[in-house]
Amino acid sequence: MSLKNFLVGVRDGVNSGEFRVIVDRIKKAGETKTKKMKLDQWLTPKTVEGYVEEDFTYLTKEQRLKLTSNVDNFRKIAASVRIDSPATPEKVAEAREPLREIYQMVQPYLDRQYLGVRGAIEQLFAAGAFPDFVRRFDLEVGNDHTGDPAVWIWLIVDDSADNSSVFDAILQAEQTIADRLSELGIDRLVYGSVRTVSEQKERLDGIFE
Amino acid sequence: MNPQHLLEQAERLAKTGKGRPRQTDLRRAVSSAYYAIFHLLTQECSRRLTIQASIRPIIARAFDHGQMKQACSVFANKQLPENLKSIVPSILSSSDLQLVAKAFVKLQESRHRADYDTRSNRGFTRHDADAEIRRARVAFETWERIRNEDAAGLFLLALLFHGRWGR
Repeated sequence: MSLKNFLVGVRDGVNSGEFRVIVDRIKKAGETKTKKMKLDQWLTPKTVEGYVEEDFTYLTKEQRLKLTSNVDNFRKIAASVRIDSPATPEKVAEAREPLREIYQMVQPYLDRQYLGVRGAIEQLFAAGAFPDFVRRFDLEVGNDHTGDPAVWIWLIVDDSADNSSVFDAILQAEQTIADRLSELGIDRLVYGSVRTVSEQKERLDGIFE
Repeated sequence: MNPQHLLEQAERLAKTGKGRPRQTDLRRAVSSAYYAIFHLLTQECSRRLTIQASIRPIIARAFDHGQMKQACSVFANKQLPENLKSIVPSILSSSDLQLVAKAFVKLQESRHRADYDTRSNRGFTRHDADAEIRRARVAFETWERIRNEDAAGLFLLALLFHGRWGR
C-alpha cells in the first residue's frame, strides 16, 4: 500500500494548517527531547514515503519526471531540517512549493473514492479474480463524458495472451468490479480496456502518437 | 449508412499499417465501431416505427446520444420501471439484451475518448482498439439473435422515449 501512504501523506501535509512549524521542547531527565507537534509533521521525508514513479501512469513521461523531481526536492529539504530545533521560515517556504506542486499533480488520485476503489480491485486481484495473463492494472476514477461517476481500468496483460481470452477478461473484469463496488455502496460505471506489457512500456516511455 | 460497413471500416482501420499503428487510425476505428452500433439500433427502431422509408432518416435524427446511453444503462443494470417489467417480463432474464446495452454504453464512452480526449495517456493501443471493435462485433451478433424478441422491441423504444416513460 505504498501508494496509499504517499497519497495520504501528501494530502495530510498540504492540509496541515498553514504549513507552520511548532516545536515543543520537553526537558526530561537531563536531556532535551524535541517533540514535533501536529502542525509540523508535514515537513519530514515521511510525507512522501511510498512514492513510486510507476504508480502514476496517467501522467505523461515529462509530468512523471517533474513529479519525481518535486518529490526528490521535497525529501532533500525535509531531510535538512534538524529535528531538535524548529524549521526556519525559509525552509518552510522552500518545502511548501514542491509539496503544493506534488499535490496538484496527483489530484486525480485524491478523488475521495479512489483509494476505496483501488483497494477493492487489489483485493479481487489478490483473490485470483482475474486470469493469470493479467499482470497488473491501471486505474482512473472520475466522471465520464456525460457526468456519470466512473472507473476506468486498464488490464495490463502478457504480450502472448490471445485476443479472445483478453476480451473475455475485460468483460469479466467489468462485471466483477462493478458487482464488488456495488456491494461496497460505490455506484460507478466500470469501463474496461487493455494494454499489453509492451504497449504499456511504450506508453510510459511516451511513444504514443 | 450501412452499420455493417462501419464495423468493417473499424476493423480495417485497426489493422492498417505495419509496426506501431497510428493513433489517428486507432481512434477513427473505435469511433466507427461506436457509430456502427449507434446506426444499427437507430435504423432498426426507425424501421419499426414506420413503413415509409422517406420518414425513417428523420426519425433516426431524433435520437440523442446521451439519452440513449441513459436508457442503455437502465437495461444494462436491469433497473427498469415497474410498468415495463410487467409488460415484458422476459426483459429481466435477457442477458443478451443486457450485453447489447452494456456494449453501447462502453462504446459511447470509448468513442468520446477517441474523438475528444487527446491526452496521450488516454491514447489507444492496437489491443485496446481490437477489444472495442470486438465488443461491437459481439453486440451485432447478439442483436441479430434477439432482434425479434418482445424485449428487444421495448429496448428500441426506450432508446427514443427513455425519460418520458413515467409521465
